[in-house]
Amino acid sequence: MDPNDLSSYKTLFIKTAREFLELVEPQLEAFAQNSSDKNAQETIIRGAHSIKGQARLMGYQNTGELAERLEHTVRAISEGAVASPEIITSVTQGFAALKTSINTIEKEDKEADVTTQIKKLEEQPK
Amino acid sequence: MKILMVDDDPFFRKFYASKLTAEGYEVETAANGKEALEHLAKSKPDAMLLDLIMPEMDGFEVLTALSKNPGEKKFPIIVFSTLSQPQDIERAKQMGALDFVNKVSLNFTILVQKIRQYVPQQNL
Repeated sequence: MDPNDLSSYKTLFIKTAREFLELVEPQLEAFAQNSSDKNAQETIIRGAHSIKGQARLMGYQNTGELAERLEHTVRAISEGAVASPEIITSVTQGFAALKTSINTIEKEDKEADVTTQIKKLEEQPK
Repeated sequence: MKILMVDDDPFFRKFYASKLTAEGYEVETAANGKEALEHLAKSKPDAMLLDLIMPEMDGFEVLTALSKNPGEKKFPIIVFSTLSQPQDIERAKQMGALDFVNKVSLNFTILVQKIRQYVPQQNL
């Protein structure tokens, strides 16, 4: 077997990505209520960071890119960037798109189209 | 040959443990630096793959802790991270790491080559 074949690890990726999303989702609500909530920020950043690495290793580059944008956006807010309502919405929608992509990977063995959410996060003022 | 793999991400722990076991290595894992030091207090591996960014105690803190025991058995440490900034790699090497691999963009064959480079092959 090719040592670089990743197909047998897809189930592991789906499982652990979902575990991180389950940790993030309640914190997204807390973050939306209060974007200065440090616990929420750290959980969201860690979740996005982990899914980023996992997705990229598995070859799901767009999913990884979206997770990276989410990580950077919330990290910037944790470091003092302004969290406008538009940014909060983009973060929430971004994680919804991440979840959709993981579901699509599971069912169809390909990523969902997340370019719109990536662009929205890239357009946010730093 | 025993490898201690230290990474807070369960996916990366399971993924690389599985692949390294398939290559014939005996793999033990730790989820953070504190667990890694507890493992090392009981037995020393032949090599360690050490993630740099972890909660509770990160890879840099592990390297610092290990450098305070110069008399203990040395083993190769390969830092294993998504960080790729040269200054982080250089810092880890100055603190005792022998090499660095990017765990996301890494070709698994290269990882095995690096392990074999630093640890003589034994009955694999």
